[in-house]
Amino acid sequence: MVNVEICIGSACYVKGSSQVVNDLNALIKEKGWEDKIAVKGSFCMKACQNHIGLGIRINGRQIEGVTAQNAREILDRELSAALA
Amino acid sequence: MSNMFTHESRQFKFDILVNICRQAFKGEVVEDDVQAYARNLVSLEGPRYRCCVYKEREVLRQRVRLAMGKMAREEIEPNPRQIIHVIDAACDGCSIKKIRVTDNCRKCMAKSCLAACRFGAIHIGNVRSEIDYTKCKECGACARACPYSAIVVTERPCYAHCPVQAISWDSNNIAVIDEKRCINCGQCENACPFGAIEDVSWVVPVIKAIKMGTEVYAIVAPSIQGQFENATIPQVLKSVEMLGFTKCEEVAIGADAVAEFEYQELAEHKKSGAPMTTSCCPGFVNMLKIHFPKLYKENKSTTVTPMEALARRIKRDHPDAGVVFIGPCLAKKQEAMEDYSVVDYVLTYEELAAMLISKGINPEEIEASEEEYPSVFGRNFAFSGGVAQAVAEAAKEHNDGPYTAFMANGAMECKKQLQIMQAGKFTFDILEGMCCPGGCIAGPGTISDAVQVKGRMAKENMTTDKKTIQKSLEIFSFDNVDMEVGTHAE
Repeated sequence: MVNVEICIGSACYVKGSSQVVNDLNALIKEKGWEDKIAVKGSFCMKACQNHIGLGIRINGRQIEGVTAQNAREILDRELSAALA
Repeated sequence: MSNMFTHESRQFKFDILVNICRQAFKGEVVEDDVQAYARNLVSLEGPRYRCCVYKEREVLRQRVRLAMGKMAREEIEPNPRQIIHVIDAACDGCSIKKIRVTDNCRKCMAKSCLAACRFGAIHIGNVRSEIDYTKCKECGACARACPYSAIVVTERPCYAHCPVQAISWDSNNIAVIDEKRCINCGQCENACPFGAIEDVSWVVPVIKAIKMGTEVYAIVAPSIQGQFENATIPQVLKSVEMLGFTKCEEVAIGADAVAEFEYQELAEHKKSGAPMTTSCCPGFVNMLKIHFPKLYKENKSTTVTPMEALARRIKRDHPDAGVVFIGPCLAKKQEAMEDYSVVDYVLTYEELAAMLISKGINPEEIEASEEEYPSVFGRNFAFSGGVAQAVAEAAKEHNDGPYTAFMANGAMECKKQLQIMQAGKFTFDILEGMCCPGGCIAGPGTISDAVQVKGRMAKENMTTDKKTIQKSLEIFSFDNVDMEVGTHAE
């Protein structure tokens, strides 16, 4: 099981993390990963203060440089790698 | 839905919030729905507040965007620290001429206005006196001189209520907020008769967090007491928990700790001879930080706010949980965005009421049992005078004092006292600053009349065990909670 945590704190929400949750859910559905990936909400993981984009962790590892625009692409790549 | 507000524009804003909450609890709130939503709420049949249905829909669209935590228009760059925004479509561009001659003018023989004007700005026109605005200095002497009260002094409500001159207008007379000057106190939002100034709402992400099963604590400000008619504090706490929060606690607990720490700080200030300003009103703190930086450094209490104190206490015990503050205040939404703050979201009572209504929860009907509660002094942080009183009580409990306090009630008074302090003429030990006239019970996010609330608070607090601040801190220990604001990140 791959755990994905997405920050739904205010700073990330303003930058579109809510959309990322929707995109991720769509991606999981599309790829049929429902049983392999667990999506969890999280609060501030200091991504905003460290200026590394939206707060997203995959299996506890912080992913850097994610924006609302490139989230789908990066999550697709990272999750495919994590599942492989 | 029955009207909760006497102010129609306020009711309209509230109805939108209820609808958004309903949608968010049901499923997703998708931006594409907004257009359809606008059509639904604003029909061709009316009622009409604006010139046409298209303008109303645009106003509604911008309102809905703000209610969803977005900027009013797509092209505005999000600034998480700016909470108060102008809905440009709703702004009426109202009178920007401060002095006006009305048709009460009888073009009299005395012409006291003409004589009163020291700048040669008044001349007598065909039907009445006229003002040459290139010469008018807006002193108001003509208005005072007129025996018919024919000359009026009017100011835009938003501009008149802004204590820090953060409001100006563009070439179309639409209000513009200078984000570098704005202290997010919300006085302009309260004042605008067109509801054209609004705060960003976080109801959607909070509901999302709850629905995702995330551990979220709600903490309610002292002024919640009496907001929901005769619902008692245990009933309110229980109602909030029923929305899906893990637990709901009273911020008055944090207020007790703040009173204790601010007293200790005050003793230090007294030694050095510098008066201390209180730290709990974020609008007041912003005023200091942006407009009185010297006092901010030398006089401001560095104790955290009660909200922050309790949030840090919760995170001490539950590091992964989220904390949502629910209060009367808009500036708190900005405080939560500061780098030192551990608060994740801030909602107003208005937004809480929208959530409760959307879930059909009526706090007055909820059965709840009383748990351990803080002191009345902590609860009284809710109104003007309460903070200084609590600090004085903390001093008394340490056999210290008495200290003298000045209560600056309202943003304009806060500014005046800070100017006096800046000039070195402030003679009291404590300056209690509260931006809302009356204190937090009159905050822009409240849903009940401040006078009624104060009465209900006194009534409920009569039945408490009158515990001291020390006693409260024995029950709610703040050991290992950092009570200093810490990094003043810019």
